[in-house]
Amino acid sequence: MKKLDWIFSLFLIIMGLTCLFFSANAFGHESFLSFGRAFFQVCMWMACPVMLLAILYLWFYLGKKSK
Amino acid sequence: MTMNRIGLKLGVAIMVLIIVILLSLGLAVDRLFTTFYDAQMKEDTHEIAAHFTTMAASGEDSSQSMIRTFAEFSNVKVYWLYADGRVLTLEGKKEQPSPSFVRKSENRRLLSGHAIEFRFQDGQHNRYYVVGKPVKRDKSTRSAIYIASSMKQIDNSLYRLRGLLILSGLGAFLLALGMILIMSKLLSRPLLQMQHMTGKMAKGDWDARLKIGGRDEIGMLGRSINDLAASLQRYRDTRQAFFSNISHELRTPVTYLQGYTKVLADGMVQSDKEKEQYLSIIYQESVRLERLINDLFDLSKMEEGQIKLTMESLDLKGPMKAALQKVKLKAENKHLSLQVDVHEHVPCIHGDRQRMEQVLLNLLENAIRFTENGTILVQLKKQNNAGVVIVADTGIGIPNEELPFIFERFYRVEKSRARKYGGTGLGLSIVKKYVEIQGGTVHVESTAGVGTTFTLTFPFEEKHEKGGMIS
Repeated sequence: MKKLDWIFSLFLIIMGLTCLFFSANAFGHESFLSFGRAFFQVCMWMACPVMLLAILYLWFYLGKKSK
Repeated sequence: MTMNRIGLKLGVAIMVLIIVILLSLGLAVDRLFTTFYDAQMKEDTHEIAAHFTTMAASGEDSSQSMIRTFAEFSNVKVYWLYADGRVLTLEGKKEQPSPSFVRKSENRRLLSGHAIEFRFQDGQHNRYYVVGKPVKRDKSTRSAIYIASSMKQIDNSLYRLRGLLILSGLGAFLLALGMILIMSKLLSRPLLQMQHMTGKMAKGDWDARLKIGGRDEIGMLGRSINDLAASLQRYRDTRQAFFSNISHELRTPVTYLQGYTKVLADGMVQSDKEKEQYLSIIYQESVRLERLINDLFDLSKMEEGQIKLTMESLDLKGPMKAALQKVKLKAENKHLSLQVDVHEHVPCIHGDRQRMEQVLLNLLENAIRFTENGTILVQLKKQNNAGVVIVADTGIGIPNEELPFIFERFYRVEKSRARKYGGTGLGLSIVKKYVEIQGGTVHVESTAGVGTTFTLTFPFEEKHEKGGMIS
C-alpha cells in the first residue's frame, strides 16, 4: 500500500469516528467541549490495545528475525 | 490513489452490504423512537385526562379553575363540553372560540358516555393528540372534557434525532469505507502479485518467483505457482538439452554413415580387412540410430497413450535371462563381472514379456554404461506378495539431489555425461512408464562414487484373464 492510500484511509476513519462521536454526544448538550472530551477518552482507550498489539508484533517479529 | 479491479469489487460488495445494514438499522431505530415517544405521549395524555375528569366529576365550583391551573403546568389545552353542545376553552381568562377539531358527531359520542381519541393538525401544521372523556355524575353524563396535547416538542425531538441518526450513519459509512480501503488493498495484494507473476511467466520469464509467507489457501496457491514455474523452467531446460542432445546423437551416426559409405563408394579402401572394419562401423552406427529412433517412437506413443501391452502370466526369469544374454558381451568387453542371483519358486506376475525385457535391458545397459570396474548384480527374489528384481552396480552413482529427477524425460545427471557415456536420456523414463503401466513400482538408491541400485517390485499375479490387452 502506498503512503497516499494510508493517509486517505486514515482520513476517512477519523472523519467517520468524528461523525459517530459527535452524534453520540450531541443530543441534549451540543457542546464541542463535551464532544472533544469524549472523543479524547475513546481515542486513549483505543490507543492502549493498539500499542499493546504493536509491541507484541514487534516482539515476535524481531524475535523471529534474530533466530 | 489507485484501485485495482479485484480490490474494487471486494470493496464495493462489502460497502453495499454495509449500506443495506445501515439503512435497515436506521429505519428500525427511527421507528423505535417514533413509537416510543408516541406511546409515552398517549399514556401521559390519558393520565392527565383521567385526573381532570375526576376533578370535574367532583362537581365543586373550584374544579374549573383547578383544571385550568393544572393544564397550564401540564402544557395541554383543556376544553369543557356542555350537554347543550357548547364548548368552553379553559385557557386564559377570556372566552375563546371553539377549536376546529370539535365535531358534532364526536360530541354526541362523548355525551353518550364513550371516550374518544384522535390526532389533529391545525392550519399552522401543528399536530395535537386529542383525548375526550365524559364527566359522569350520578351514573349519567352531563358534560365532557377534551384534552389536546401538542406534539410539537416530540416532533422537534424526532427531527433532531433523525438528523443525528443520519450523521451517525454517515460516520459509520466513512469508518467502514476507510477500513475497507485498507482491507481490500491488503487482501488483494497477494492475488495481484500472482497475476503479475503469471503474466511474466506467460511472456516466458520463468525465473520469476513469488514471495508469499502465508500458510492459508492464498499462500498455498502462491507456493503452487512457484512450483509450477520451477517445473516449467526445468521442463524448458530439459527440452532444450534434449533437442541439443538428440541432434548431436542423430548427427554422430549419420556423419559416420556418410563418411564410411563415401569411402567405400569412392573405392578408397585398400584391403578387405579395412572394408570389413568400415562395414562393421556402419552396421553399429545404424543399430545405434535405430535404437534412438525406437526410443523416440516408444516415448511418443506413451505420450499419446497409445501403447499396447500384451498382458500375460509372466515368469520374470524369462525376460531376465534374455536381457542378460544381450548385455553379456558388453559387460565382458568392459571386464565387468555380471552376477546373477535368482531365487527359486518366485511366482509369476501379470505383465508384458517384451516390455519387461526392454525394462531390464535399459537398466542393465545403463549399469554397464556407467560402471568402469566392479560388478553388476541382478537379483530376483520374492518379497511379501511381490516379485522383486534388483539391478545394482558399482558405477559412478547419482548425487542425492538429482535422484528425484532421473525418471524425467530427457533428464541427464550431468550434461557432459551424454557425450562421454552416450544414451538418449530416455531410458529411465521408459523404464518407469513400462513398470507403472504393468502395475509395478520402481525405486532407486544411489551414492555418488559407490553405485546405484534399482529395485523393481511387481505384485504376484492374481486371477487375471489370460492374454489381456491394455493400452
